Amino acid sequence: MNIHNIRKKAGSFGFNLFFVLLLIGLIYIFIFPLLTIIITAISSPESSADPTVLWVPKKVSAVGIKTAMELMNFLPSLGLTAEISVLATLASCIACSLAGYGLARFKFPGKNLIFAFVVLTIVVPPIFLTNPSFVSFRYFDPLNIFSLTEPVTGFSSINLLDTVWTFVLPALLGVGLRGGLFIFIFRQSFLGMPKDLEEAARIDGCGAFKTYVRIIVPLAVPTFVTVILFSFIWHWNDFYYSAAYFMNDTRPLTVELSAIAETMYSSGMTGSIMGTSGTVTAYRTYIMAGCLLTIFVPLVLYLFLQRFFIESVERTGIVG
Amino acid sequence: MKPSVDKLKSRRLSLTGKNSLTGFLFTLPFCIGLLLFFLPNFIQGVVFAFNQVGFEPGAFTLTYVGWDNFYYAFRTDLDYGNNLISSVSSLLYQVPVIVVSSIFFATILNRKFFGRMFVRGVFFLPVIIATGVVMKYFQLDSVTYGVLRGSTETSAIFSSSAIEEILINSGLNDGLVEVFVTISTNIFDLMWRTGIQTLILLAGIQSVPASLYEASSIEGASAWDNYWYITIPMLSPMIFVSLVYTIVDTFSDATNPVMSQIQTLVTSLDNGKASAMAIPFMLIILLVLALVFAVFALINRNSKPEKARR
Repeated sequence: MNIHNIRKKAGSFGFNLFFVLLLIGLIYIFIFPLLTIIITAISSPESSADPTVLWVPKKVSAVGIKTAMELMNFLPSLGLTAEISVLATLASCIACSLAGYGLARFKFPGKNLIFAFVVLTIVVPPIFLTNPSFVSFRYFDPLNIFSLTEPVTGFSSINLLDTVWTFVLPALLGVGLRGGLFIFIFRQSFLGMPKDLEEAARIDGCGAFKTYVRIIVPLAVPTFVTVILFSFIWHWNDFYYSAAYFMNDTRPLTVELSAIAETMYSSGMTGSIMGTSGTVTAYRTYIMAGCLLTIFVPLVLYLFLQRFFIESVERTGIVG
Repeated sequence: MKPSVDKLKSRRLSLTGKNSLTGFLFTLPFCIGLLLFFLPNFIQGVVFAFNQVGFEPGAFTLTYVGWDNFYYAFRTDLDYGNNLISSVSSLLYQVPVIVVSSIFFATILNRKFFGRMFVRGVFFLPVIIATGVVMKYFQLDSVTYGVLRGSTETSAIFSSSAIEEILINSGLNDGLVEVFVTISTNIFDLMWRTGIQTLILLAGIQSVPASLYEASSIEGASAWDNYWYITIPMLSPMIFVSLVYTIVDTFSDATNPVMSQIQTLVTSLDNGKASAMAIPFMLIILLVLALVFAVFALINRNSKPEKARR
């Protein structure tokens, strides 16, 4: 074996060692909080703040999860959150990819203005819009249509609060939660794709919309997966808008989670929260259990969707 | 059976017209959304800035106050100006660190190695956990607090003062040392904010046609050449996205001093002042983004001739 080979091997070993150590360090940073959540959530309320317990809970119990489920009105909330997330994600994925495709591949007057508005919707923080949009959904009256038809229909506006439409309707029109960002992501990803296939399809007489469905969507699977994932998780985790739009008994999970301490208060667990150290830890167990219940679905979804990141690679290998 | 030149010409013209109409039709849903939802609410927000806002059931009561709210923000409020400056200056080091590390992470996660699925899952955890209420509880919780906020509590090696001393003794510029120390104390926080960008870039890397790599490898290019001359240029649209996202995210993060100031005002129903503080802030974000757009447009223009020759 010559010296060159050995050096090469040693070099790659050193690199791999560095690589593995770096990964371990990063994994620690990223996974630590999740482990804390899980461990605290499944340990029995009395033992969860035991300083001798670091990783392995002394007593595993489902009390934390059960109590958190009751406190959060879990199943109805889960249903509502899932409904919002699924519908709004599909809607905004369709509307935003269409807009992104229009902006990336066509030339038409006013295109730059529309793109400027896309950027503006990205920049405006949610907090700037919450109060005006709250009122506009409470008295929903697009372009005064309902006011004008009041003599016939008998109402001047609809109350959309506490319905999933507060999220789905804007999403259908591409201005939902982070809609501007999704349009931007789609536009950029379409810009980076080779034009050859589309041109071939158009020359063969395929219409613009059909080209989009048949050629663009299959090519951009990684982008679609990314957007679906982000949109779903952001809708799932949204707190600003959810807290403003939902005040009924059934509220999205994040709102319930945020109110978990108050719910404990009002359901008679008040005395125990600030009491002895044992009860403070019970409180901690319930909160972590609530966190676990909230993030469980996005976590599973991600593990499932991950496969598509790899499958799509083989598909993208265009010949030519 | 050849159509005359004239006919071809007229047909092509109508095709361009048709094309631009199709393009507009693709963006039509978004335009309607702008008119129905975004613009009315946005304009309402801007109107707030010039008024004293009161709330009645179902409506706002507006009392016109002119530029008073802006005077309040810049003259009366002592923190606002400083907060603006500090959020812009923290942007200067946070954005490069976040974007470069997410490019690095995406490259790593694209490699084939044992347990890649697991590692990818782990890298994405911050996105699920760090947005929203869970994070709020995390910052309140004593056990997780130490890890998330500053490494000083968790490891003595990275305690900033020790490193600061070493660096200053080694003769580095004071400003540089300060930047380094800020980065190293915030490294956990910064790494936690790379999840979205990493995934955007990973999807971007995977959209690069495999044929390009095959061709260049046959021509004798090394893996390093492939990375610099194929992956990075093909990735540049997505690098642009993650840059824009990082800038907006850094500005609109709830921990941003200006945002938390605005949040406090909105909570106390002082929407006029909140809007007056938000508008200059948005203008600054737009300005920063315009700069980034201009730089990218310049880079694109410079690299076009090569592309065309392909």
